Amino acid sequence: MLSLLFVFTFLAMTPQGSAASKNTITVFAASSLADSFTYLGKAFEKSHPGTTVQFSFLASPTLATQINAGAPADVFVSASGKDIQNASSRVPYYVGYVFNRVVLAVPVKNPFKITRIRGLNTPGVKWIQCAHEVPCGVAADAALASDGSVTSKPVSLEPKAAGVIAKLLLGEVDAAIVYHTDVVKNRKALKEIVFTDRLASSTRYAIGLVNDTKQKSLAAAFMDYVQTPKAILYLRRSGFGVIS
Amino acid sequence: MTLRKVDRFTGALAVLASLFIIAPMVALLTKVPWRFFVHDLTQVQSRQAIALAMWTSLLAALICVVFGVPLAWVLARGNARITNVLRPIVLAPIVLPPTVAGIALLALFGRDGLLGKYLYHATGWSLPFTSIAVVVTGVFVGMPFLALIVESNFRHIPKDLEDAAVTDRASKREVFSLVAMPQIRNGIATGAVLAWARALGEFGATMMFAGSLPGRTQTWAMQVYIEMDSNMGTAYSLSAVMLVIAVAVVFALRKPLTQAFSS
Repeated sequence: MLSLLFVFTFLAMTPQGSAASKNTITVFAASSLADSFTYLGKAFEKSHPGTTVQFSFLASPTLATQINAGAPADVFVSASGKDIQNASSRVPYYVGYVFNRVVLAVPVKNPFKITRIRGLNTPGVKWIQCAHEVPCGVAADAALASDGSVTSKPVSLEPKAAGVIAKLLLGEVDAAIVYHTDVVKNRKALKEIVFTDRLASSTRYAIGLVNDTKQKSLAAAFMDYVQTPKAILYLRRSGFGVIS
Repeated sequence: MTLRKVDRFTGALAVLASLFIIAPMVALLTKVPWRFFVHDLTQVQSRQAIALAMWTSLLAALICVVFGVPLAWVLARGNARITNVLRPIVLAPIVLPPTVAGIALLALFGRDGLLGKYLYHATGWSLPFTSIAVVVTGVFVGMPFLALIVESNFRHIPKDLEDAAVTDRASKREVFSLVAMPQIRNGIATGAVLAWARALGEFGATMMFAGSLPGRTQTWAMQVYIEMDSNMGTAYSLSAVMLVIAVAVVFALRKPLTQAFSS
């Protein structure tokens, strides 16, 4: 009886398993790309019938660590060049991709009436940013350093970009340094105050192929697809920056 | 002696089960960069994280004892119609995913939370992102362990002892605090240590509810997660000490634990 069960499980798994892996690619992408890449993934599947794109959206350094540890990824899109370089054992080549920049976001209600970056110094304001280790934190640190007016400290250094925006939308904090794209997505709920130093507040995404992928052509097709003018236009509408 | 009682097949499965649990722990120890071990643990971020985790979890364990022992007494001696419903609910956090615990605590204590809303409007103060939030999370995840162990200990007290006390005109409160509680001092200690260990290790709920700020809310377990992305060696060193604590806790409690779970 038990062995029958094993046989059935085996039979049920094998064909499906190989079929799935034949036309499935796994893309490891920075958490700030979650919405736009989910959309682009769907569009890619539509234009390549029979294919499936799976995503893992986490902080770029976490993804780099996982890729170095042998995670089954085919494509890596990191939120900074540094993180993709850290995965160079399996992602030896990469190209620069779109830009994003961090801004100071406040709720539309804006209880502390923050209208400038230095508004973060207002007593009682609780604000957060990404941890120093992740790209959105690196950009936030650089932007704040360049601005130089903020003397208050964040109440939390969140391990990933998505956590920052979630806590701001929940109303647990009065302000947060988030990606411009997060504000664009939530324009009804949030307002943004930009840093004047655009270079310091920016980060450039990077995209590369995992060298031991078994899906080289499909993975390459996906990489090409997300760099087509149509995809770039979509990303631009979502708030990402491009070199034109 | 025991070998003769166990057949080979069952024994082999047991060996596999043990290996499955032991192997990852051994692997972890082999990865620790011992040359930098002391340095890894004594650098500022590690010291802060360890100190914070220690005091918040100890405070959480203390709160668990103060409120959890009475809870356990009610579960052991209270009206069965109530306790049969109450028990599964208050013990649920034992199997609740930490992320669910985190979101539940936010739903109650957050600025827009059921209770937190009023607190924030009245005082302008909110619980998330404070060290107190780390303690609250610890109490939430630790209390059920204490209640579970202590209730089981209360149930093992011979009934006639309490009956004798009642005949001697002891009040209900005296039966609890002067007769029952001293009987199970070891059980309370066991529960407290388990609650402490659980609070010490909590990560997901803490990150969601308390955030992550060095010295304030960034705990030991969270430091492991953060170091994994920047310095794997430090993550291994921090983990190794936690592993030793876990094994030591269970080893120290081996007797009371087996007693508590055998009825």
